Amino acid sequence: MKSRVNFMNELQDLRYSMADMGMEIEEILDNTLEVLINNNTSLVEKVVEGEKKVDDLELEIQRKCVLLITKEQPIAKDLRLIMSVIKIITDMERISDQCQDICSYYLKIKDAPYTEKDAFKRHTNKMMQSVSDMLSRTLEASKQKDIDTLREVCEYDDTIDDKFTQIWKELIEYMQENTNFISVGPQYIMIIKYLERIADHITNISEWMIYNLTGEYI
Amino acid sequence: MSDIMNIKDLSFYYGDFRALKGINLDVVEQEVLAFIGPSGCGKSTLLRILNRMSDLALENRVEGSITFKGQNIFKQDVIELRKKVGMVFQKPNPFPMSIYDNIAYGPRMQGIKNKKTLDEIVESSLKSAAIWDEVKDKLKKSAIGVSGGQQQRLCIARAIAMSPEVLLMDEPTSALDPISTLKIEDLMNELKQKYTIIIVTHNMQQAVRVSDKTAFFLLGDLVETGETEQIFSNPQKKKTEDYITGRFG
Repeated sequence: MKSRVNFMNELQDLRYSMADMGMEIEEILDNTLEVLINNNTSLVEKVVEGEKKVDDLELEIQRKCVLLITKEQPIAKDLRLIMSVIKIITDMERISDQCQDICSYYLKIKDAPYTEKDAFKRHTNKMMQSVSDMLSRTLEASKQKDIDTLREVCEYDDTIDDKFTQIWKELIEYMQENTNFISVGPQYIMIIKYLERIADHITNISEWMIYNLTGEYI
Repeated sequence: MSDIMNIKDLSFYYGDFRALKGINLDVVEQEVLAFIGPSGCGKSTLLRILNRMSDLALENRVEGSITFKGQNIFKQDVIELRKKVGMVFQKPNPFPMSIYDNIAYGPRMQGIKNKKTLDEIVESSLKSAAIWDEVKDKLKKSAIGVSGGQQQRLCIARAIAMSPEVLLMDEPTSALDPISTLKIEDLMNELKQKYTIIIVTHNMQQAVRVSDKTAFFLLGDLVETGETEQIFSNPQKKKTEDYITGRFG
């Protein structure tokens, strides 16, 4: 006879809740991408709404985790799952906050004097797309229990860090050449810094997923 | 730390029934080793063989070897072995006599008659078992009159009075309330400074709290052994994981 059926069901429910939160984050990041790359500012409102929803989801999942620890005293893979969920939803919540921050900075500078041809703008668009791909790959690999891809995502974070440094330098140069951009540049740096931090959070999600699946701390 | 006991290719039979199947396990000095597994897996059987309580039934048969500090336990005097490898049972079993006489019983059997020496042994044993402060004013009272938790610590003191090197504990807290259980667990943490402890427990959290290493048994086989933290966070065998997470058992 199968034992702990209720507990198994509750763990499955926890997995679904985390996957739902992942889908919300993916949508928020996609909308942020639309705002940043295609200047579709009408989506900012959706990002703000999504952020609120994610806050609520985080609290709800946290409560479930605490209750499961209290009543089931989980160990081994069960405890690893619950610990990973607690860590992952924290990173997810931070991603949604930072998307909102990116949008609010973007609204301040959307009419600033620069064009799509400027190197920093082209590279930022590329960085945004890369970060978005990182999240999609992480969520899909988590669903498929694809540890190799999760490891690749972790390694890819270095590429994002390099992109950040490169764009930062380009922005400094641009500010030196275009003094009327000086009031905009620092805000733009904040945007790419948030993108770089989002990539860190996605890396954390991959690392905790690997821990969940293998017990290996990264 | 070096090994204090080595179990090699050990099989044990109750008549025709093979209760343990080729067990290999090393017990490291001054560590707490937990035996876990479902009822009937052989863990208590192994514990009892370690101080040859299994000798008590004639139809029992042992194959393989167990050494205590390099000496084959089956070829040494059983009384001497049990002095060095003491046992604490699931249910507290104080003798129907005073607290003092319970502790002094073993030393007296060993021929110690000097009252001062016996007083010292009783006091130090009760202190080591963290029960001296609770019973020092009623040493002449019956041991049966104290609470279950206190009785169990008295039994631990009685085992300590023989100056053992290994303490075998067969589910020592399963008959106790949660507070008494935690007292015994705290005590085990102190006792391992001096003694090697092997505990059989059905309580997973207890195994995690008290032990350095864990051995998981199933149907007479030793399925997996390792550092307790590893066994309970990332066991290597599916059977271990299924058992400790409650998927079966």
